[in-house]
Amino acid sequence: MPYPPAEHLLRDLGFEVETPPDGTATAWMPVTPAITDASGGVSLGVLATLVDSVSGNLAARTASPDRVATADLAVTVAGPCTGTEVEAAASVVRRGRTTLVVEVRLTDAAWATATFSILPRRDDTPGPVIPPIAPGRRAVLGGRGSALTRWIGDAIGITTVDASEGRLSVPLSAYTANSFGALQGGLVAFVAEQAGACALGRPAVELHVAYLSQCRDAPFTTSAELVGPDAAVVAVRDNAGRLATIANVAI
Amino acid sequence: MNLPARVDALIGLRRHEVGTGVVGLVPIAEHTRHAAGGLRTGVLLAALDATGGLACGLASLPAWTVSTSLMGVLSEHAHTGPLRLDATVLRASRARVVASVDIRDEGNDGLRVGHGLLTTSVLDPAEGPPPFQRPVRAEPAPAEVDDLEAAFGIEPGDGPTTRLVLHDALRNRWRILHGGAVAMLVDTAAARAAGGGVVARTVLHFLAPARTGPVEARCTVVGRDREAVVVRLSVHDTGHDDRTVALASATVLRAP
Repeated sequence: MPYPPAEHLLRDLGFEVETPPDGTATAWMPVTPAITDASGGVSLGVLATLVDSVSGNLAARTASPDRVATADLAVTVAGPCTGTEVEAAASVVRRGRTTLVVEVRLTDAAWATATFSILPRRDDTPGPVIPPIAPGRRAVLGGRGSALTRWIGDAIGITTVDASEGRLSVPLSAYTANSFGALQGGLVAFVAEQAGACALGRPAVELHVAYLSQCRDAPFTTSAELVGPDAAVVAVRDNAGRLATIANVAI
Repeated sequence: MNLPARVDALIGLRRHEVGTGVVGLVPIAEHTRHAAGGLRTGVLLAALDATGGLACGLASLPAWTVSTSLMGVLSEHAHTGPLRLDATVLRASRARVVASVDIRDEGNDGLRVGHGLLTTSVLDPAEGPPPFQRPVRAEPAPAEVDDLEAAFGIEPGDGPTTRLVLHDALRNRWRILHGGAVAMLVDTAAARAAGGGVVARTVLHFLAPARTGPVEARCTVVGRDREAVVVRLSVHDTGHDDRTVALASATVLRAP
């Protein structure tokens, strides 16, 4: 499928990003009822999607001409993200030979990190398309979409199989795919957070995600195992039952 | 010869290779308890790093691994003990090995009390992997410890900065500060910065080796409510150009 497609969830979330020449990146996301939860603020999983987007953007720029893939991601919410817009400020804290670590601060209400594996450039694999540095905000994926008019989980197409066990089913489409044709990594984090929050019965405040392989073979299913009353371990599997992502979720 | 492990001895950790995984057992001793009666989170994180790290290292042979990220949640804080850590490798590639570590309280009918995720990078040390016999059994004699923080070189104090003196006994095989000691420092510093409490959730990124010391954990409170304080920590090797060696967050529960 051509990438980026004309319609994509990241566009509909209204993400904008600015990448000044100082090696940082900042992203903004408008707050709408489509992305908030019972906490009164933006859902932790949506914040994870924002973190993945801005840190991935910065990591790709920093590692170019090599490619990057998200290895793990963590988000901790210190209070509900309310207001009209969430700002995410990202900076590289380590650039090694094989890994790159990005720290992200979100509107004084959350803190996040993401680790990327650096995939050496190969002659037979085109590198990422890195837009030139330009002042000011720009929409991600080359343009703004239409604002979400329904809850983001419905826009993704998530169906709940068994809430108490965190069992969700998730389809894949061009609307939610990344440039590899797999479920976009930030949305995988969102799905994991939703599964954990379903099993625990409350919105999550902390999310740790380890990505094991790309989610290509849909539909994907989730399951949650409780770790006491306020935490769960969530597994995201592909259609063949392979474990693609594992996450800690806490309320 | 099996793995030398001074940090294991300080916390009483025993590790066994079992099948394709590694099992760690940590008793609850007077010097490793926190105020709520359970095992100190720093001890558990050190055990998680050591147990998961051994599983990842064995999966990478003939190379070896170094911890890069450790993410843990603890949900129960009053333990009977010993705590059992089951480390399972979820992914092993040429560059990265990831382990899941399940934590249960054996003295409380195997109640699940926590879970950790450890990501490691594969390296190819010139001197090869640590020497050991298979299956690995690392069972150092527990060290006599009166004050755990002093044993880890952590200076007394309170407030936003906590310092660790890098004793030779805290160095690992590569002569750098053991990851478990960094975890203990993060736990201690976060609780001090929060004004007390128990660390329930931690994200710890190992960014660079600490070789010289003293090592300082500098804390910033990101947010707080009635139940918890979220602390961001950057850890610096003050004797090595103040290099940042680790970055972490810790959620400290005021009254677990």
